Amino acid sequence: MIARKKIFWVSIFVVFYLVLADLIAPFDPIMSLDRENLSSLPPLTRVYEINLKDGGKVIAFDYVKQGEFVYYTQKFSRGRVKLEDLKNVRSLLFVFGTDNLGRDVLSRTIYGGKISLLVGIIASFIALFVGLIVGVFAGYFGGIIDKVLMRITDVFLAFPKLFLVLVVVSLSSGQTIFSLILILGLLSWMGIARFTRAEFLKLKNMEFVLALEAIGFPDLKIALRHILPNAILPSLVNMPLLIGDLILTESILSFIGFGVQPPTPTWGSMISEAEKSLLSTWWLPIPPGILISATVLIMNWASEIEE
Amino acid sequence: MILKRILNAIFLSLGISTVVFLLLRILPSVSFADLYLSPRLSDETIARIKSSYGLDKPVLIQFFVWVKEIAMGNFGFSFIYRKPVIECIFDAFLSTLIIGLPALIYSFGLGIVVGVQLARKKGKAVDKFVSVFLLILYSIPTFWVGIVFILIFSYALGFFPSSGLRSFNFNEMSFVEKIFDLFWHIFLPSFTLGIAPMSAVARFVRSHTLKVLSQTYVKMAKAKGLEERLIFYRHVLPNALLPVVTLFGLYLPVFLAGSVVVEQIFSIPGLGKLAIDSIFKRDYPLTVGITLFVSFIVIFGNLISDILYTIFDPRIRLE
Repeated sequence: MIARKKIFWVSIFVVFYLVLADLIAPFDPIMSLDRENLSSLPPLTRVYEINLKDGGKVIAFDYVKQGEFVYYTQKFSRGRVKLEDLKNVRSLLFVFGTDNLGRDVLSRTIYGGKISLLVGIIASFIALFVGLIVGVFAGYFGGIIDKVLMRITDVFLAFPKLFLVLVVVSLSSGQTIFSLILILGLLSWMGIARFTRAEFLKLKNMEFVLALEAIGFPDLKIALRHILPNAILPSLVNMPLLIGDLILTESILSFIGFGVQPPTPTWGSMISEAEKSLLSTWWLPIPPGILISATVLIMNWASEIEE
Repeated sequence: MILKRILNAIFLSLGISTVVFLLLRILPSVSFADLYLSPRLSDETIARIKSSYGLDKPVLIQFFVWVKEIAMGNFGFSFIYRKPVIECIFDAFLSTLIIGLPALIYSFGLGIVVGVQLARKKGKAVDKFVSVFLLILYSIPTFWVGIVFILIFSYALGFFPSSGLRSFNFNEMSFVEKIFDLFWHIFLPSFTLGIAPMSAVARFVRSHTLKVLSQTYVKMAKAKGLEERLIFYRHVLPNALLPVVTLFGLYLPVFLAGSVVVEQIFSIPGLGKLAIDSIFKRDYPLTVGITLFVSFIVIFGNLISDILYTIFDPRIRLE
C-alpha cells in the first residue's frame, strides 16, 4: 500500500477509537465498584454483583440461593441477604483482572489509550504547525533568516530529546495534560521544519513559482498558497512516525512520574503503577505494554515508505 | 572540513547552554533563590542570598558568568550532594557506561550481522519474517521490555537479579567471582537497553546494503564473472557498512534516553537515575548540569563519527 492510503486507514481507525473508547470500556476506569473486594484480581476473574431492591449492591465471589436467603462469599467475609430483597444478580467478568485499587484493567487500558493517543496527536499537530512556520520562512526567504532558523533547529536537535523534555516538564510549575501536550509539541518540530525547508528549496526554483513572481503575486501568498501545498506531503507522511514517537515519549514520561498525573490513566502511567507491585500483580503491565507497542508499530508501518 | 565541523560543534554547545540558561530564566517556577527561601527571611538576607548566587547582576553578565563556569568544566554546585556537579556526574556516568557499552557493542554487532544477512536473502521468507520482527522490536517501549524481562527472568525463572549492580556479598568475593557477578548483574539491563537500537541498526544496514547492491559497479563485477560471495564481501560490504559510523552518533541519544528508564527499572545508580532523582529533589544545578553534560556528549559523539566518516570515506568531503 502507498503511504497515503495507509495513513488514511490509520486515521479512520484512530478517529473511531477516540469516539468509541468510552462506549467500549465495560467499567469506570477511574472509580472502582468496590475497592476492597475487587482489588488485585487476576485475569479472567468472574464476580457477581448482587443488586438489592432498595438500591444497595453487594460484590460477591460466589453466591447460593438456599431457603429464603441468598448466601454469598466475599474476599474477606461472608454474608446473606433475604431472597425477597433481591432484585437481580449480574455477572461481571474482568478479562485483564483488576489493579490494586480494584479498577478494571481492560477499561483503564481502553480509556488510557484514548489519553495517550490524544496527547500524541495534538502534540504532533502543534509540532507540525511550528515546524511548517519555521520551514516556510527558512525555505522561502533564505539568506540570513534561513541561516538563523536552521542554526536554532540544529541546537534543538542536538539536545537528547528525552532529557530536554524532562528538564522543561520538571521546571515548569503545575503539570496538566495541556502543559504536557504543549511542551511535547514545542520540542518536536525540528524534523518537520527541515523537511519543509528542503522541499521549499527544491520547489522555489521551479517555473510555476517564477511565473507567479512574474505576474507579481506577493511573496507570502506564493509561499503559503502555492508552494506549501506541494511541500507539505513529506511532513504529512512523517506524521504517524512522529505521533508514535510522541506516544512513546509520553509513556516514558508518565512511567518516570512526570507525565499525566493519576487518577487519569495513560498506558505509560499504568505500567508505572504496575511496576510498584510487580511481584504480586504480574498481569498489570501486560495489556498497556502490548497496546503501546501495537500502536507505535502501526504508526511506524503507516509512515514506512516501500522500497 | 574538520575544522568547520569542530567550530559547528562549539557553536552548538554554546547554543545549548544559551537555551538552558533561558529556560531557567523564563520558566515560571524557577528562580534559583526563590526555591529555598522561607517567608520569614528578612529582605536583607534575601538580597544576600541572591548576590551569593550572582542573581543581583544584569542578565547579560549572569549569562557570561554561566558560560564561563561551563567552559571551566565546572557545571555548578549540587544542592543535595554538596559537591561540584561534575563529580556527581562522573560517578554515575561510570555505572551508565558499564551497562551502556555492552549494549552498544552487541546492538551494533548483532544489528550489522542481521542486516547484512537479510540483505543477502532479500525477498525470501526469512527476510520478510525477520524484517517484521525487527519492526516490532523497534516499536516496543524499552521500559516495558525491562519489566517483562524482570517478570520472566528474575521472578518466574530466577536466572538473573532484578536490581542493582552488585550482590550483597560482593566485598567477600575473589576477583574472578567479582567479574562474574558484575556480568551477571548487567546482563538483563544491557540486553534491554540494546534491543531497540539493535533493530534500528539492522533495518538501516539492510536497506543501505540493498542500495549499494543495486549500483552499477556491482553489475559490472557480476558481468566480469566474479564469484557472488566475493562481490558481496569484498566489494559491497565495505561500502555498505561505511555509514554505520554515522549511526553511532545518531543513536547515542537513544542509548542515553534508554539508560534513563533502564536504570530506573533495574535500580542502577547511573546518570539517568541521578537525573530523575535530581528532578524529584529539585536540585536544579544538578539537573541542568546533567542535561548539559549529556548534550555535550551527544555533540561530541556526532563530531567524532562525522570526522571518522570523512576519514574512512574519501568520497564524502563535507561542504
